[in-house]
Amino acid sequence: MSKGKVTGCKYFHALKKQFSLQIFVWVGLIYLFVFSYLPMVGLVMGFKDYDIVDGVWGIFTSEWVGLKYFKEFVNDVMFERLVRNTIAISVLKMIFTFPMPIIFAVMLSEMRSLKYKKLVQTCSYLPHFISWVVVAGISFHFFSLKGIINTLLVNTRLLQEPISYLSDKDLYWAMAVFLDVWKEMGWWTIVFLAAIAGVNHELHEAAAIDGAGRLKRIWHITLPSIKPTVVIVLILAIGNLFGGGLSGSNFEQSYLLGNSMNSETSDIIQTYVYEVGLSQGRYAYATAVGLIQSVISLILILNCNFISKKISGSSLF
Amino acid sequence: MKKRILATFLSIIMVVTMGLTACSDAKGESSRTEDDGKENTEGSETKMDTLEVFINMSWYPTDKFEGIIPNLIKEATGVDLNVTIATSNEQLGVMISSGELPDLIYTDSEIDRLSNSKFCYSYSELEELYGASFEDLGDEAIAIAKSYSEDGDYYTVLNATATSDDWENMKLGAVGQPTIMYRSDLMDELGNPKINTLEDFVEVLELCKTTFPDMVPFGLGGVYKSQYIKNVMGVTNNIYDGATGEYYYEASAPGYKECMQLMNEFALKGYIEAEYYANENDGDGKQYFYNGDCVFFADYLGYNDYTVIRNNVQSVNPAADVAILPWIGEGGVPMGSNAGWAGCFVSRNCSNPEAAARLLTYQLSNEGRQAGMWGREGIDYTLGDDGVPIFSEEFKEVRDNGELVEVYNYRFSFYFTAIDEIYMNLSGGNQEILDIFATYRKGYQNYPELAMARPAASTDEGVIYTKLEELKKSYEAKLIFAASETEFESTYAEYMEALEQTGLQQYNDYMTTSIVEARKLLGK
Amino acid sequence: MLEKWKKKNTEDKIIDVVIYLFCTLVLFITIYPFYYILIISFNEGIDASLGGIYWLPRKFTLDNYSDFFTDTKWLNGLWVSVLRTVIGTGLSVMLTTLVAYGLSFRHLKGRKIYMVLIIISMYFGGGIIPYYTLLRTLGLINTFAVYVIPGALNTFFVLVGIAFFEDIPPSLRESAKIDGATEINAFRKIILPLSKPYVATCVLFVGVNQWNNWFDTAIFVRDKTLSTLSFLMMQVINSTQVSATAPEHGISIASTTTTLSIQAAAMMVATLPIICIYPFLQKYFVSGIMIGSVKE
Repeated sequence: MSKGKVTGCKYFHALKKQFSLQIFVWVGLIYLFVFSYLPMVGLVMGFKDYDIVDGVWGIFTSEWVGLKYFKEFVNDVMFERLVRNTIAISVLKMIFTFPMPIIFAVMLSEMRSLKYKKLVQTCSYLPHFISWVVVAGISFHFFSLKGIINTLLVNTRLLQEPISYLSDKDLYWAMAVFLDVWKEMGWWTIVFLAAIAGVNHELHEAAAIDGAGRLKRIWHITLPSIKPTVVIVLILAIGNLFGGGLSGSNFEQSYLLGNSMNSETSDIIQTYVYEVGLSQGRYAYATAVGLIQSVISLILILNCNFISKKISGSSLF
Repeated sequence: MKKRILATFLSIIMVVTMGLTACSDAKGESSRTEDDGKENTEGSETKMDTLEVFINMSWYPTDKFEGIIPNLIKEATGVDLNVTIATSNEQLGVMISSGELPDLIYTDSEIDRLSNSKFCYSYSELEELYGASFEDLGDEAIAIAKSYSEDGDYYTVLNATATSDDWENMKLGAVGQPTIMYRSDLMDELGNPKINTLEDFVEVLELCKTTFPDMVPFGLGGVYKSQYIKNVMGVTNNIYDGATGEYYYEASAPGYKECMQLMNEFALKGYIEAEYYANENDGDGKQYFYNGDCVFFADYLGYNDYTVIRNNVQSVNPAADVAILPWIGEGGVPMGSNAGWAGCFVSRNCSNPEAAARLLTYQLSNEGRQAGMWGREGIDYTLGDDGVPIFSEEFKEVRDNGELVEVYNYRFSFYFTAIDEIYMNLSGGNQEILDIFATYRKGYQNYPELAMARPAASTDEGVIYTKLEELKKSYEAKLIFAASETEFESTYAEYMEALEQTGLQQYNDYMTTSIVEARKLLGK
Repeated sequence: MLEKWKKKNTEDKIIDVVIYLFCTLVLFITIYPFYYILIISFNEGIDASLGGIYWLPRKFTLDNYSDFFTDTKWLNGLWVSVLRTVIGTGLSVMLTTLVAYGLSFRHLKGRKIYMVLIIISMYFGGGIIPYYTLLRTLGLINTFAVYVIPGALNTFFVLVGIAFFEDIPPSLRESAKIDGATEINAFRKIILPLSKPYVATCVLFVGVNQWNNWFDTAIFVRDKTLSTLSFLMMQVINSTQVSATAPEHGISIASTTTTLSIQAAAMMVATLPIICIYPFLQKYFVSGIMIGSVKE
């Protein structure tokens, strides 16, 4: 691919040449400025003794308390547990939930029967539309002691005793990952299928004539051609690592599927901050802890972008 | 071709939906014109003022100011309400901070933040400026409300309060305490063993375990979990020793460890089941009991609730029957607080404070308060000599069917006392059941100061309290389901240390002094 | 068919078998719980909670749906939802693709800074209170515009779009510009038609977000005529869940419905329209538009 180079041109000349393009981008930037950057002043709450009774301007006029809320969070008895669970669940999701849509998209694209392919794909994204509230309700019917799965396994003698999937603290992480894959795999497949749809068919045919096997063609043609999309989605997913990756489901899962029996593995930073912060109207505390997460996310995404640029050549910016 | 099929399919769906909605539309419209007609005739006498009310409880079962009781209120005050129910916990917070409160706010949280002259009219202002009068209101209710504000004025009056005197003079049993329901048909099979003490109860659990191996003897699902057993053993969320004036947070109370040990024994012997315990949802918890999965079931004391549960159990298994376990504690344990749980605020933005004052004047008067819970005097109830309402057959039938909200709609009574509510629930009920309810009065002492003393959410102690409660959720489960005695001991030690680090002592001290102040407010 | 199968080599066959097995498994695992919600929504709630319902409703009832067909507000909610989805998606996709297209030029001046600005905005936010105040200052509170304007720029799809547009040969645009087309025309006439898979994906994601979003209604809109379907649905789901703060004052449902059965019905009502729309968009993913065919 050759790209038009702007060599020897003066800066303003170049700018003038891309005037329309700059306009396109600036419309977006103005949007960003108004709807993202202006409200960002609220971040100072994290360092202030702010209570909602102070009104909006109280954000500026309330007293500075420095790192009070950060200290409160780090010194919390639950801190260690929260960090451990948040990291463990997030990393497990990155390992299992992220690759699944890619594998599934490749499989679908390799399918010969178009009708069946369409059927499978259309059905696979249905769970995306079910809210987590309902997923929690259904999983109760499937996974509880007297649920469908236990009944089935016990009746077929595969299990001696039913397993309480929902209240066993050793199973929460597995459940979280499984339900996440179940709910979001088909949905994210759409993005990768769109990328595969753009792959040159002639390349495939040419390779087939050259005698390349199917696996080889997938490996050497399909995957490389969707690499930019994969890399970008991966970087974004890592940027949202602690939110739960692509689907960002950590909070809802932990909030709905967590209970007193599995809290040792299901309590995460977001739910804890929600319980002791937001639900008590302590916006300042919630902002402070949210800020820590934002900073970590930004560091993660910048590093990933850098590494991916070095290794694969494709990057966000 | 495919497109055509799809298009046909879609249009069929459209037609069907349109048809369905059109039907309901027609219905809605006709009823609306009826309503309009009614309002018009009323309007010729008094003009209706409409107020916006925000109800900060997402579970609220009604969002329309309609029904027998709302009609009474409309007639008496000339005020109509336009109701919004909260969907998100953040709504009220945003309203407060942006100063965009609607006319009225009925809420069970943020009471301390709203009790502020910046946001709301105080009730005394309503009296001075807008002609409200709250003559029938008891001093104790006002004192409780004042404890939430910093300027010594009161901005709301909490419902479901009860003064100590009223509580002493109440004619019927209590309502709302943790209780245990059980399958009385199964007890019949066991030969109706006596359950008069905790030891008896434990024995019966063992009997259930051996006789009904497919059932869990004691289902501790939903919200109440081990609360009944705790209360019987004298351990509650708030423990206040009236004699010494000492306050203990639950986990630091004497007897807490023994209580947890007993629960652990239940778990080790298989009387209780971890998955049931894990369930936080009230509805799902009850479902176990409906389905015949457990013999005993932890719930709360409520006549209507009992009827509903019984109906549901029987709709699954017609041969089954349900009864309520009487209070088996020795009594004398100070606990509980009739300090109310929700109240109505009039915001500074109120478009018509005069109408709000009229509404509250009526609702806080004895007449309006009673109408708000019991309906039309002379039609739905007549007042007995002892002050207990005697309800009409129609009212009782509606109550037994669990349709009070749909037909009478007492949910728009923003002020009522605990006693009004108890009478509404119990008066004219089955005497046998009422006798059981009466036993619970022994286990309940009226201490409004306990709730009044509680710190505001944004204070240091408020934060500590929230965190203590979070710790409890996780550690109690671990204690109760500890696999061995050593595990129990180590978990207990760990729990105590975590409590200590979180600031248990500071909280206990704060409450102990704060209770003294609250008692002063109550004139004790 | 059989002949075709014979022609294939072993590798082909194994892959086919693996793919078909896996996809069938996925099909079953995803479709069955969904089907389960469907039959639960048509079954008496209490009866359903006993378990044992696998294929057909045992005690058929429409009770779970009764709420949806007895009140005109649902029709109005449906209308508002459709309107916000159509307008909101149109606006958002237009803005997002334009910005993505602009940023896809590697030699764009200031590109690096723009990208960093976009990324920071994805991870930092000041919370709900300043945001609310901003919207109030702009006069968006309690208007229909609050559904479609504030969230119109989808930063995630800006980034996905950049990756996509970068793959389109620049020669195409350049040749159009040599022919005298303006940038916007080149984009509209040459680039957009080649970007159907991306645009369709964008439409779908943004559209579904618009359709499902209830939070903005809850916080920013008080006018009941502006309530969306998903917001009304959320109210139903909420009111079936008894609060733990004041349980003794919770509701007691005497009828045969349960939390799950009503949720199931609400779910079906909200999902059906999306299922109906999706097949129209899907053809863009499967038809395999050949962008690569013009590659150099």
